[in-house]
Amino acid sequence: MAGPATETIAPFDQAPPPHTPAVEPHLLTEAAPPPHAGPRRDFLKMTLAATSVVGLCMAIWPFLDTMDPSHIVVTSTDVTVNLGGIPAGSGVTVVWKGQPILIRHRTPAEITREQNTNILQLRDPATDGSRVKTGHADWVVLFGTGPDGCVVVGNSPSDPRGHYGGWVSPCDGSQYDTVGRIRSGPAKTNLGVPPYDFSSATTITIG
Amino acid sequence: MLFEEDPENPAGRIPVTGPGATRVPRDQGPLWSFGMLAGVSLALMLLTGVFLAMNYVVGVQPFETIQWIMRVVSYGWLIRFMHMAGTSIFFVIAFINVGRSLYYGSYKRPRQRVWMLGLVTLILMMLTAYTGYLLPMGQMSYWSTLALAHTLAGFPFVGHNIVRWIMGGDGIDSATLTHFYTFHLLFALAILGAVVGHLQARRIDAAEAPRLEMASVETVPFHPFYTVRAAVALLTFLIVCAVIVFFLPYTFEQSANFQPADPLVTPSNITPQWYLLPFYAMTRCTQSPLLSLALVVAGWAALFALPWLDPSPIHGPRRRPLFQPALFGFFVVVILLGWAGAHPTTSGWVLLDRLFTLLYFLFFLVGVPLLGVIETPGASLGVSLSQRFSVKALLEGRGAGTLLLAALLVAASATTAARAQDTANVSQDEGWGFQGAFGTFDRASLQRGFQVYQQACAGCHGLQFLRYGDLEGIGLRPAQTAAIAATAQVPGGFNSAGLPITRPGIPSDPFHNPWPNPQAARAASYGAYPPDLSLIVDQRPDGPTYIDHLLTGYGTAPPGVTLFPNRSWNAAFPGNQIAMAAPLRAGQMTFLDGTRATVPQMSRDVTTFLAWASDPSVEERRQDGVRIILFLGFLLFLTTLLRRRIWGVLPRA
Repeated sequence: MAGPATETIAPFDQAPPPHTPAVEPHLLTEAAPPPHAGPRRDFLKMTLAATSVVGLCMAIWPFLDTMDPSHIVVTSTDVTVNLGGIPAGSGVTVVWKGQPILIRHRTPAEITREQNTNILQLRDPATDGSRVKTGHADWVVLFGTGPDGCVVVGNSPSDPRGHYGGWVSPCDGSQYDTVGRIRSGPAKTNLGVPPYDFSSATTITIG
Repeated sequence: MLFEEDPENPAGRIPVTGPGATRVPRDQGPLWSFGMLAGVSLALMLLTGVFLAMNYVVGVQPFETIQWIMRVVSYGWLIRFMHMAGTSIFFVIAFINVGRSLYYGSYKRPRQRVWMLGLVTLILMMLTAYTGYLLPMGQMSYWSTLALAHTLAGFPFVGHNIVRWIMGGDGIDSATLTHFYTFHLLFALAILGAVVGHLQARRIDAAEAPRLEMASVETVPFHPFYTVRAAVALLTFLIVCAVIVFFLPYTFEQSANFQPADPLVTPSNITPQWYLLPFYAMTRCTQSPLLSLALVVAGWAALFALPWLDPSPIHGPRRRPLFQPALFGFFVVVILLGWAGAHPTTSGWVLLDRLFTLLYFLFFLVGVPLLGVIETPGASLGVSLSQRFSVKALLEGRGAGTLLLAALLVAASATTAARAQDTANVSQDEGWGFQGAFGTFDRASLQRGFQVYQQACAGCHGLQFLRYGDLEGIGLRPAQTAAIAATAQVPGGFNSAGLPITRPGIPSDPFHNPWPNPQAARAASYGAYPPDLSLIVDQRPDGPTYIDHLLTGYGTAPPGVTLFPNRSWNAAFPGNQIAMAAPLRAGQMTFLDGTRATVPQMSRDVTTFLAWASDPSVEERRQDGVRIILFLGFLLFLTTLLRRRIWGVLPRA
């Protein structure tokens, strides 16, 4: 390629010289119109753009996926609890997926009382049987966090348990019965029931 | 060529590519894409760095954290390999940028700022890489960090205090890790700042340069001509990166770094990362820490002072008949300096360190100032870069291109050889089916190998980074892995009386460790620690072949050799006296698939299993790699077609 034509070189501090279109092919001047965009080129551009967008979206996925809990963490979250040492009328709190889970051993009197409650009076109607496992009415397993975001108290017989013998929220004072149904106070919903199963007569697996 | 400056008018060059330039010389070569590629590398490093930071646990069990990221975090291996191999890729790109600036005289007035900010970026990159290299806490991380940190001790009076202050202690511990982690992030942010300055300076300086040559030199609008070229360069770069990340991720890693850091054992040859080697070699010229430090500082100062050291106003090297060969000589010297730095500090290599360091400084202090004065600029253009690197020139064995490539090859091969030097006499390539880009593991062999591990190895050797659930990868069903897991008793917390209890293992549990602690392991094994086998194949140079030879290498000691007590003679073991008694005996176990349990068979199977265990996702990764490379190749094909369409409208030059 030819070197710079000396006649066009002007001193450093002067304005650039006007262009000399006669010397150059028209496409190479600054004022040139954009090169002709043929239909084939447009097609290529669109295919390329579409493919690149698809590629970028696919490339984002692995990065976001690293933030997800890994499959190993997810599968290892099951918590097995031995119910052996929990006396009737008392309860324990275990942690599952970072959340408190209440396990309560109910007395026969408590079971009878909740089973006989008229569910039509309840704010969030649910039968006692729908919130425990069949044949294991003496065991109640609940999420410990109430609708107000506070962990309820009442597991130990010496804790405040409210008028209904279950749990009380230390924040808004809502009272729950022994199967975790809301009975008084500002809360609108019952305590949730986590997924769990009896793996034997005296052990449950949460998760 | 378009970047040949007029001697009368050094400032009158055309703006380089990028946002500052609306029109670009028509025929600028591929080297001008490397600024953009450096930006892309930086972006990828920051991106992967952010996601690594979300998964890396600072200061506690760093080695285990990396294995957690590699094996448990979804796509953790991807971000880690991208970050790890990306560092080396980034440095290659950055060095090419620096070399190009030297070649085209881009450091000269009025672009000193661009040049110096580029150098600042490079220094920050080295600091970032240096601090980041400690974080995986392998053997080489530990020892090379320590070796380089002690260069700083050369500061008069306060040197040792500085080292203590940087490391947060007298040695490397968790305080050092948190310090270095923080430094790593800060330096990375600083790179971002320096790059913004570098780009801004380039924009301003390019704008200052009158576009005098525009009227006489053919230029084209940046868009679409150079956007499409940039896309081609970018896709080519991404394909190269993908090949490295998916198929050769450990290219730049040393086998010692698969070993967790051990403050009690120094690796035979401490070498820092390759991109620090030229300056590392300088520090080895002298025993005096102060002088070592001074040499490195002077080496950088020479680069910074280059705009003022070079009196020649000519930017284009092709009109400089003496400078151009001198510059290529300098490139070769830098490469050889790095090559020498990769070798042990024996007197011969130190002599080479000194020789190349001397040549390095001669180039700046004598060559550059003198050549600018005595040289008569050529009236016509000399050989161009593309001619110098043309296939023809290389084949004929002449030209600077050949010289550079030869230096690179020497440096690379010698470094690899130095790395393998501490292995015993093991031969290459045993035909392992799982090696190579498309290698796969033989599932039957893996399952037999697992049986061998269980029956012959597991009594003494742990496999701590493998989880029972990972065994699905050798072809077991989930129910089988659960059953295997359940045979192990793992710590299960505490009972209501506060005593530790165990529970049956579940698939997400790591393999049961046969020893409660290393002391117990040593006590039961004649003082020799039975190494964990999770990464053994990576930890030994020539890994699988070495393991196989070790397991089949037992024999009686040759006459004249007295064995130490409780040692066995082994042909493959360094020193030939090994504490592990021959673990395999013919017919020791029965394979369910009817294969005869000969020693070579068991050895080969267990080696295959251990190779798989060192990297259980390797096949999946290679498959992902093939898909991604095919996809990028398709994009590259389309882009090349588009480039032809776009550039085809121009009249022939």
